[in-house]
Amino acid sequence: MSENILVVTEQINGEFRKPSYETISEARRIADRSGGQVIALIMGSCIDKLSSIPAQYGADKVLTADDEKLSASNPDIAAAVVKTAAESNEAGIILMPATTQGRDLAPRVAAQMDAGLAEDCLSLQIEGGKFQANRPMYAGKVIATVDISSKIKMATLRPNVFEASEPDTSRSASVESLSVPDTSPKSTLKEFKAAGDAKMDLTEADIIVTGGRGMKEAGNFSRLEDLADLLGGVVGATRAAVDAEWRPHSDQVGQTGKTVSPNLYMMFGASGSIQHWAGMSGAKCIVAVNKDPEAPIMGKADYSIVGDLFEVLPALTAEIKKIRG
Amino acid sequence: MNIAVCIKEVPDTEAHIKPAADQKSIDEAGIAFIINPYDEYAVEEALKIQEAKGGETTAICIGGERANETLRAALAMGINKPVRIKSDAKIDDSLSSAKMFAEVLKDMEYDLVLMGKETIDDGSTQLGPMLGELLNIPCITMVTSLEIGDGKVTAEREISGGKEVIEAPMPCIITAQKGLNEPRYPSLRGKMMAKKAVIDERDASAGEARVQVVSVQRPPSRGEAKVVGEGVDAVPELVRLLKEEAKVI
Amino acid sequence: MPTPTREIYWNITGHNLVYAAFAVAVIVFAWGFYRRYRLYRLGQPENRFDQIGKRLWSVIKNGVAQISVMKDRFPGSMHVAIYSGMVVLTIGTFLVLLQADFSLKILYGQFYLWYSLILDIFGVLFILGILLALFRRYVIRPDRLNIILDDAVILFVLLIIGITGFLLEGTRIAATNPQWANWSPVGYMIAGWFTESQAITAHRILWWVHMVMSMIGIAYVPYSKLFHVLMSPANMYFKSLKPRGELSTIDIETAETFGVSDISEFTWKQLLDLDACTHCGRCQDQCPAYNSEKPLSPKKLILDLNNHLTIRGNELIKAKKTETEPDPVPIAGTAVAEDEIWACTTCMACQEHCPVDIEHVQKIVDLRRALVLMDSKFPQELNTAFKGLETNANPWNMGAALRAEWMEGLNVPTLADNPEPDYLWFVGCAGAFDDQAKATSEAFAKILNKAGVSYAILGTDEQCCGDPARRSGNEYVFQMLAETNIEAFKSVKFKKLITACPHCFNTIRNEYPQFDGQFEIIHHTELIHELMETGKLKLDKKISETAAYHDSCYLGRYHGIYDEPRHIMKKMTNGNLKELKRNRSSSFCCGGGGARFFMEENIGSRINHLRIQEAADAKINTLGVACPFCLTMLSDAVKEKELDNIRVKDIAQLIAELLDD
Repeated sequence: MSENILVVTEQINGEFRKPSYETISEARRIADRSGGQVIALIMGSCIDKLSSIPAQYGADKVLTADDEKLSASNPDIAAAVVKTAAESNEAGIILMPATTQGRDLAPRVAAQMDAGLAEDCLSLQIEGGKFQANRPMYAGKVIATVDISSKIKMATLRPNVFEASEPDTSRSASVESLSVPDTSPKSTLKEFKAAGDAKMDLTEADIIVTGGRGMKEAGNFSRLEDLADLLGGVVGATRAAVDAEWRPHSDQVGQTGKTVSPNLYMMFGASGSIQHWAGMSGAKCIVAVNKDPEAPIMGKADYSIVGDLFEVLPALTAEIKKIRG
Repeated sequence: MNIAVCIKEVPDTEAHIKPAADQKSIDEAGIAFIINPYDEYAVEEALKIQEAKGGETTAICIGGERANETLRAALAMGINKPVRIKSDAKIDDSLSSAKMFAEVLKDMEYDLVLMGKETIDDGSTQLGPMLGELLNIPCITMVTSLEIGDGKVTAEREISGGKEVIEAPMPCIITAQKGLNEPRYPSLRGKMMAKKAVIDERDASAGEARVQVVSVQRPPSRGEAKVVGEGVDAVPELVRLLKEEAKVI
Repeated sequence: MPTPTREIYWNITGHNLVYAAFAVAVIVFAWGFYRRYRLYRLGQPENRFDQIGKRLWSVIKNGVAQISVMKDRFPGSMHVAIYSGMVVLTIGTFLVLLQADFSLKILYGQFYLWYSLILDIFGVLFILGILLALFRRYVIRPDRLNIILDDAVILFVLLIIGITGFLLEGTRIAATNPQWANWSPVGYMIAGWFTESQAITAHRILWWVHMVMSMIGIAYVPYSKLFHVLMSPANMYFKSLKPRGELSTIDIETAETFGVSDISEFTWKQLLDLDACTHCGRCQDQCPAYNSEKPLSPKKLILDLNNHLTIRGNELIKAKKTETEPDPVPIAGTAVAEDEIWACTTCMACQEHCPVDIEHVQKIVDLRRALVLMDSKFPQELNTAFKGLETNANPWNMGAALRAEWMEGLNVPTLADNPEPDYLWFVGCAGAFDDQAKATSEAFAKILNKAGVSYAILGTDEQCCGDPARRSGNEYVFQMLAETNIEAFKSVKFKKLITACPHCFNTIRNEYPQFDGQFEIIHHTELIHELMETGKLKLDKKISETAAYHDSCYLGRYHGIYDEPRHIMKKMTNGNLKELKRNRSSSFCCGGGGARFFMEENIGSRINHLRIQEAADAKINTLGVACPFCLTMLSDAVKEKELDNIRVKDIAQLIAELLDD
């Protein structure tokens, strides 16, 4: 039995965020197997130039909710729009990226529609009436398969996991504009304080690039900053680097600093003492670059390179730039 | 001000988690259970607000007998009333949990409902926003700073690129993010009193589950520490592994 | 020659005033004593009345024979001079009293001649001692002495008494001209300064001055530092006869409060301690916290608590009389700063060098207990340690299931492999989780295997011994851990426990008995030493670098184990073992004890840096240690200071390196 799939995209400042492409592409793949239409929903303000893009990734129909009220994150209004979009298009499946916004929005929709919601999924098995998803649990220590049996089924997709297909500019889709309900939101956004140098808190970061004593001086941390910027992550520091006053204490990861659990934790010139490990052992993937093959972290890191960080780091940055394109 | 805190009993973050023999759930043998760390921030915030504004604090937890220990941990920190919603079975569907909490909260007077932004066992961030819809009150998630005003709250939440400052009238729901506060270490007196406290046990129906965990498996192996190679030559392979195997870039 | 003697009260009229003056002095003294005594009475009960013989011996050894005082030669000798002079002169005066008031014929003949000479000699010693004291205190001005008016008053009073004493003797000799005058050589010399009539007048005046000064001296005792004359020996009598490393326990179920917040929550003995202090400052000189610019000084701690006792104690006494409820005054934050309380590494250098047996460390732990258990006020970093201990039985909060991971791939038997071992090896948290200490565990396993020792480890059933919990004041967590370990030990049949960590060693040996856990335990250096002595372990190589041994506080000062590690290292180095300047009982702490290993060091300089610099300055290449905290603290210091040419290794690691595989 085929069901229509509603994809709730996310855009910021007039540009789609990459996970949206991933989600549309996945919806397309599901529809190709099981039938049904892929409907993309764009919410925001002044978003008409975006309306042609979802089709390139496989959307059959595009809904736009263009309203001043949606110019900033407004989950109450957004939830109402999604519900209306899903109901009026008979969507049995609702997908969206598991970004901060998505993970805040999806549960609201699920509660309103009495839908089962699988969060932060790594893969979906949707075909012939079955709706299952694989998702991490216990901080990634196990992968669970969940089965959803409600009439409306929802999933949020972990960013950077699903493949965004190559955009096919020959594809097009019908565009329908939705009206935004007149309800007033339950809470109001008063202010958005942009972080000066856009530094995210370590404890929230998905990617952390940490430097230790081997960085030799404060100035060398700028190379880590370059890598962090490239990866969309933040720079951390070991206690040795903080004690040497190369980085502020707010950057310190470890037992007497911050405890972090990013998806990727890269360590340069740090030996990985027990106190540091206590602060970052929750990272899902640990990479270490160190001259000393006997350094404690080398036996624990998922991937390590024995080498001089001053050679490896620039090469690594260049390589990542290359594959990112 | 009356504050309700929704807490959950979860396995200790350092516990060795592995699938049970039937691969349908995790093997709980030898695991220490603790209060969900994010819920601890919520408990602490409730206590701080109570210290400033007076009122009563209640902690609510869904679970079996063992969950009473989690409630006692909250009591030891200073929470006034413990409530356990009896449920021996594990609840996979966050909406079911939300409905159970809503049922109990409907009988309570509260100005604020606090909880952690995420439960670390199932990795769910759903409870707060769902509860907001069920109770028809605002919900602000991932709060790192909270100010109580006259009949309203002002909350800061950190998102990529900066901070949002959001205002909502009370009653409302706040989900706590790390950095909101530093949870206090329970005093020994608190621990001793909590040991003797009587837990208020309630029933609430979970209803039909929409989401069910059907299997639990080890993730593709991470255990092996792999030395990718030496020096600059190892870089391309490292990047490939990060992209394709670990899928982190 | 007529019988040598002298007329008591010669030249003095109205000498009965002595009795009146003495009565006044005694009353003033008694009042002063009472004022202090009733302060001790505010304290909690404590049994220090057992083992009378041992207690008396302690007074004889250190009080009478001044052994502990002489540990520091120069000021020690100075004090012995004053003290012995005082004692002899007092006995001399007492003999005069017996003769004067009880008509006992004592000061006659040969006896009197020797009496005169001995008193002169000791009188000189007495005055010399005081002059040296004045010189040391006001000219040399050593750092460890604080200078207050009381010090000048005491020295002044004593000096006057001493000098007037000789002047009296001299004027008397000048006036009475006895034939045996040369038996009082000083007096004889002084006599030459006076004519007979000058002498008579001077003598009369000096006698009253001497008498009044002496009475003032007596009366002044309980109001000044002179009180130590009574309280120091009393303190030696009441000293703890328990092992140094055994801290007091709390009955958690029944106790109403935990630890010490108000001064009256100390025991009476702990309060008496405060009056025994002579302000000598030896504790401060040796204290690693003081020497690294932390706000803690053991001397200051005792003096501050003493002042606080006087003020607060009297407040409490008044409140009791008027039946009012006094406002609580916590010591932490008022008399003693929290930073001081947390700076202590429990190294026991203070207690080791205190000549009068003051017990500083227990007081600090008592203050920590109240801060942790009552107020939940403690350095932030201990939060992880406490949580880790409660949830995963180790202070780094590493998964409890990982405790046996260190032995994977090594040939280490668990109880499953060897259910009734000779030795049950208590690995400890560091040995299981800390990378440096894991290398020690690996090395020790190699040694045990090579020597064919029957041993086994508990594996994941082992929990932290509890030392960091108890030392940081978290008695609740300590008891939980201790009780679990004791139960685990009791379920195993073994001959002895063995451990490579002096902290585990101390707690299991000296503190587990408090919870009905009596086990014999030895430190790994003791076993290694025995194996080497009995030929079961032979070294295949030697080390050629310059080596020294760093005494760990919990092995050295706590247990007097100084020689075995040295014997081992001497064998390693072919007899060429250097000594660090501060060694044995004066060894300088690495900074890791007292749960400080788990806290940040934000004030002053780094204790471990100071110690490693000492070794580096002595051109040591290999520094042997016998404690995992010392190992990590000093190794970290080597890295942080980027020192070349020095490595820090546990003795087990050094031995293992010298064994063929």
